[in-house]
Amino acid sequence: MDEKENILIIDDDESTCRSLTLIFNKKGYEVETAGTGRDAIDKAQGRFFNVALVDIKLPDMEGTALLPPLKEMHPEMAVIMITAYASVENAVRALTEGASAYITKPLNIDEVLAAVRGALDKQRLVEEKRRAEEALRELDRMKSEFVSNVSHELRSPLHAIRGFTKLLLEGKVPQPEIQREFLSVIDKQSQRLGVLIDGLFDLSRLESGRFQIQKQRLSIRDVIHKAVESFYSLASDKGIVISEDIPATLPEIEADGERISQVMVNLLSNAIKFSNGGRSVIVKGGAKDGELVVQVTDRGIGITKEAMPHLFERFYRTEDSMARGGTGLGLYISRQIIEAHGGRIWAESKVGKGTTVSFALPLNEVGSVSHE
Amino acid sequence: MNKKILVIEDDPSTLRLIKYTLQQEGYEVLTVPNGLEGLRKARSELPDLVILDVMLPGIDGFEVCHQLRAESQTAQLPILMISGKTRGIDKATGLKMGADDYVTKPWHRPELVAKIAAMLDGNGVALKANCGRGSTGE
Repeated sequence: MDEKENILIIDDDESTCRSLTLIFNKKGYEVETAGTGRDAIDKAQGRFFNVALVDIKLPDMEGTALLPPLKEMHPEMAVIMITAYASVENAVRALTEGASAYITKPLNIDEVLAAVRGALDKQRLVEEKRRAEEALRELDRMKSEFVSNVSHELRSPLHAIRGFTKLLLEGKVPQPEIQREFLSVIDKQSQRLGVLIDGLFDLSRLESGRFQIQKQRLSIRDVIHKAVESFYSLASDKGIVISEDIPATLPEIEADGERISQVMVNLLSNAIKFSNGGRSVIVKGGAKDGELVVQVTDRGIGITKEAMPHLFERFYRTEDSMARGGTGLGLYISRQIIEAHGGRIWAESKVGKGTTVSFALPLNEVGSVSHE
Repeated sequence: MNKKILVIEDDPSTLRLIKYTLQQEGYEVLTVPNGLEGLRKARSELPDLVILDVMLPGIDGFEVCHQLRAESQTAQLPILMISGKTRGIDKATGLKMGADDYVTKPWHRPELVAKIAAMLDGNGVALKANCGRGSTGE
């Protein structure tokens, strides 16, 4: 454990207190002593002790009478009763009332240390179990939220598709140019459904370790350009201009073109989603220090400091993305893809100013012989 | 004069669908993609009815509804909330914020149209306490 473990000795016999304190200090435990039950309660009120050693006979009360108040203040605290042979029966009864163990006087040091270690070990296990359960509950909560998000994300395009299809089928759209417009909405929304379903498949492959990339030599410039092109109409609907700054001299790399394109699509779709109208999205590329770096910058709403560390976690969505839609998969899958290429992905952002998401892929330039 | 309906919805295709449907019914339709512009438009245009999406970027539909109710000009404005949120609690929140009705996506077009017509006739509004039949101009 990170912090020193604390032991509270409750015994009116000063020499017992002194010698136990010495021994425990030597073992690296922190020790506090109390001579009466009242004193012990006062001390335990202020701070947590991992273990309390309680003499069964205290001047102001029975040691066992301390069990309920101590347990109430600190349910995790381990209480070990110290008893004379004569009152072993009481000590055994204390076990049924929540004490972890009892040791008998005259004290055997090894026995005392073993009892304390045993209590601490158990405490650690309980704590670990509690944390694991909490993590599971959190994951469970995120998963069910994810299912509800996915249903919502599936429903919106489906709703649009059905709505427009019905209008067309029922002959409510006589003008051919509007028919055409509605058909293209239906087309776009079906694509959106397709992307979403692909994402779900990717997630299931990632979860089961069946996610693979297939590298081949390609021009990253072409991949990026095609991805950008696919966003022209969405961007112009929102009054956003996408500018590309990628030098033609960029070397070819070994990569999975489809997967890299998928990353670009995720980053661009976020950049556009979180931009407000009339702003620009900038895509930059360059080679530096043996790496190919691509950046997508928006002048959008930005990401809060609290959200930054979680951006690439699966199912994670920022406050704003709850309103703007999304499943919490895009950046998670993007990170998996980039890492599968031996690269890295990161984000920088300022609230109200915008966000830049960058990824770097290793450049295996000519000279590194391709193995065939 | 045609009744004027303001639609506040951020999803462009849903917005287009509602706009076309309402135009077919002969309404004048104004559209805005977020809550802030929605509030502004509601104040400046004083429409006969507002269709309000719940999940909006920035200030959400609940908040827009609350603000419209808080201002005297728009306090009586019929508000129809639409949402992909189908849970009862969301509907309850919407109605508590002062919406006159709440429709979940996907809606049945004839039902949506009928609801809007009823609300514009004052039938929807008449259900509200101390409001009665507001329209005297016809």
